[in-house]
Amino acid sequence: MSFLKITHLAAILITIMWITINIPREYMPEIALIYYDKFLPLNTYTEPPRNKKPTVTPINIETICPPLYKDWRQRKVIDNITIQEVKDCVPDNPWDVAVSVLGSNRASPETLSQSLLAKDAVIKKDDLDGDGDPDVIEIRLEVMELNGKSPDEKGVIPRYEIAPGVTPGLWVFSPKSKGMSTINADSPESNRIVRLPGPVIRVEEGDEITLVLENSHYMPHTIHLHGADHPFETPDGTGNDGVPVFNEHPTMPGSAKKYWLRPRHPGTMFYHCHVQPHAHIFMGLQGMLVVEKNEENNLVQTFNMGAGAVRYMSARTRRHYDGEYDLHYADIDSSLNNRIQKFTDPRLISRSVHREYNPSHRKTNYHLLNGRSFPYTLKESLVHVKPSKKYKLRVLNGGGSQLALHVHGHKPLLTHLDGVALGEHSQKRDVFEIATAQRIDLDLNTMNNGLDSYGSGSWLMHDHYPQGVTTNGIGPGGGLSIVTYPDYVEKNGLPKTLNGLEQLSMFFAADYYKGRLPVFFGMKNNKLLDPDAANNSKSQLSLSVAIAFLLLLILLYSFVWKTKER
Amino acid sequence: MRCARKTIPFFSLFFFLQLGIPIQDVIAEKRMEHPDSHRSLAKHKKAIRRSQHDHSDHYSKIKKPMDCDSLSEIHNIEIRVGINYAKNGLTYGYDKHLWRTEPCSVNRITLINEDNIRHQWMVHGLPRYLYHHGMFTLEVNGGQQISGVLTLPSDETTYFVHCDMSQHTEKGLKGQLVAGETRKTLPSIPGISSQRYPDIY
Repeated sequence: MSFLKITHLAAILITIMWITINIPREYMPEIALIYYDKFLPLNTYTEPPRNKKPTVTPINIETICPPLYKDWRQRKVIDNITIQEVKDCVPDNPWDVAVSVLGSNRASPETLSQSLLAKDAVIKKDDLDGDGDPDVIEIRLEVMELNGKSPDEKGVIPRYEIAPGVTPGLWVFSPKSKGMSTINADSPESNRIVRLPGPVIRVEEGDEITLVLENSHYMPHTIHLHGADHPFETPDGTGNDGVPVFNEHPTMPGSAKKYWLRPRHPGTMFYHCHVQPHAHIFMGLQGMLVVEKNEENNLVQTFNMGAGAVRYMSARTRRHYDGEYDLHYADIDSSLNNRIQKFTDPRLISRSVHREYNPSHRKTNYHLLNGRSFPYTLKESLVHVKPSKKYKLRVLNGGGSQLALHVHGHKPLLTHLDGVALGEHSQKRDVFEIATAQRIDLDLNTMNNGLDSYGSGSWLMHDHYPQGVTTNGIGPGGGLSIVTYPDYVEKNGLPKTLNGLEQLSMFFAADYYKGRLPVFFGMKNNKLLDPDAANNSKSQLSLSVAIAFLLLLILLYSFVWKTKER
Repeated sequence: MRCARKTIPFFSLFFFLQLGIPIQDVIAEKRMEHPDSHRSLAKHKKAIRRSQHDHSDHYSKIKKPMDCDSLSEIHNIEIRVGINYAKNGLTYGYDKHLWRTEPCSVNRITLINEDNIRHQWMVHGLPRYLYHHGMFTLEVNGGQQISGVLTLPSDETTYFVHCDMSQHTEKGLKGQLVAGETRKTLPSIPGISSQRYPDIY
């Protein structure tokens, strides 16, 4: 030990002292702290790190609501069909609506050419009951994938964002369309029809409906008509309930299958795939099915793409209401949905989705209204109302979790449960508990009487379960939307905010939902920004450890060198 | 002047813009009843044969690429599409995934769909003054066939061909149309080239 000279001991001592003095107190053991405070003087005041100014690429609100949509929002008469005006920032294409109302066989070629619907997407013919509207309806659905894997490129295809930068894998029912699934050859973004949720399908009570499933996907699928009156078998003796094994063979890729129904009762119903339902329904294969009351001259909007405002209401709804909204809530467990982004081979996808995913471990992290999460719900799914009017809200909970829907500033009237009228049992409430697959119909009365409505405003409408207003844990997100009055809407359809639209733009930044931005950063006089990482205690600790390690290395080197010398 | 051997005089070719829209809009096509999944394959194929007839009368209007002095006579290319042509690990397939033709050629493409859903045969990379977005598209419903005329410019190159329905390209409907002697091969062409990001088995 004679070679361990005084210099080495000094170096060790210096190292230990350096570490002792510089190690942040939060990383010291309790016992060490006692002696530390007893024998060492307090450090002089060190100012905590400054706020780190977040780097955010400014979002141009014009790109959120492009001027093109201004024309789409206006009231239009197309082929003698009056398409109602809507205020949405991104409204439904009016020509798609016109084709949905008239039928693709009865729309003019000009109208059909401006729609993405195929020539045989919805065929309407034969007035069976002589009441002035067609009663034999053939509807064709395809099955599409969104945000799937490409074997040639990184990134998902076709791309569909539920929120800024959020692209979970999805399977969806889609009205039969024509052309590409993307906007154009230069863009990976899906076109306006290929989207979540499946289209709301509207039919009339007593119509003879053939629903054709053209399975354009790579998995087997069926359609189960949940809640809608349908026979167990079709007239030609094949299964009609959509349940594999007990009722029918699933429709294989490349094949087509006809379902048949002639519903005897109106109401808000549900349709979904029943193949491996614990996975397929929550991959996105679901939609709302509305059976309207049979009336004279009652054309209905067969497809309401992406749900939301109904731009052509049925005769009865027009008579009783000033507007109608389809609200389709859903949730996603990305640990299921993102499995399709790992493989190209359908066999590997099937094994992963159907055998390796365990739904008993299901944890939902994305929550959707009409296929989007906040802030994109602001673009498509606001409930625009006027004072002293009455609106019909059809609500479906297609998610796997309970939904507690709360409408601020109002107490809507619950009129129907699962498509059945409640009559004298109707209730006015401000929170509606909706089980999975359940539907409720609400009357939203905007009479400012302190009960139905508290007056004009921009009133939130959201799930009251905490996860329902977040997107992967970041809020505001989820299926949050707004019931908004004319005084509280900007010209482009977005709701007014206290500091102008710039305040909203922070939520349209993809980094926000990746947790890279402090949640209050858009607010004035905010002292809750992130501290500058360069000065925080973790980096101070890392620096201490690094310097101590360096000192020890020098000591060790000196020790070895001295040993060799001997 | 490599296209001059088999030429069609330009004065017989009138301008005819193919806008990338389904060609059934401009070419009369005998329609078949849409088959459902329960129809037998034999009956299905018989129906396809029944629907075939010659469309050569319809090809008197063809737009000529600017870089071609003349065009070849018509090449006939017949393509079948459906699940029966899928390779292992894929869902759909064309009967071939490589088609050869010449620069400055006129090609009559016939797409025969043996499935009961729609499919496409879409060529990319064409001159945008000839084709909307530089694409030539044939789209056909299940159990039907469709024809269209594709004229190619003078480039010796390999064109990307696919079905642009969601995930159909990724699940087997991808091919290449080779004009001339080029050896350029695209990735993940079933039976021809490997994927850039292949699955690990």
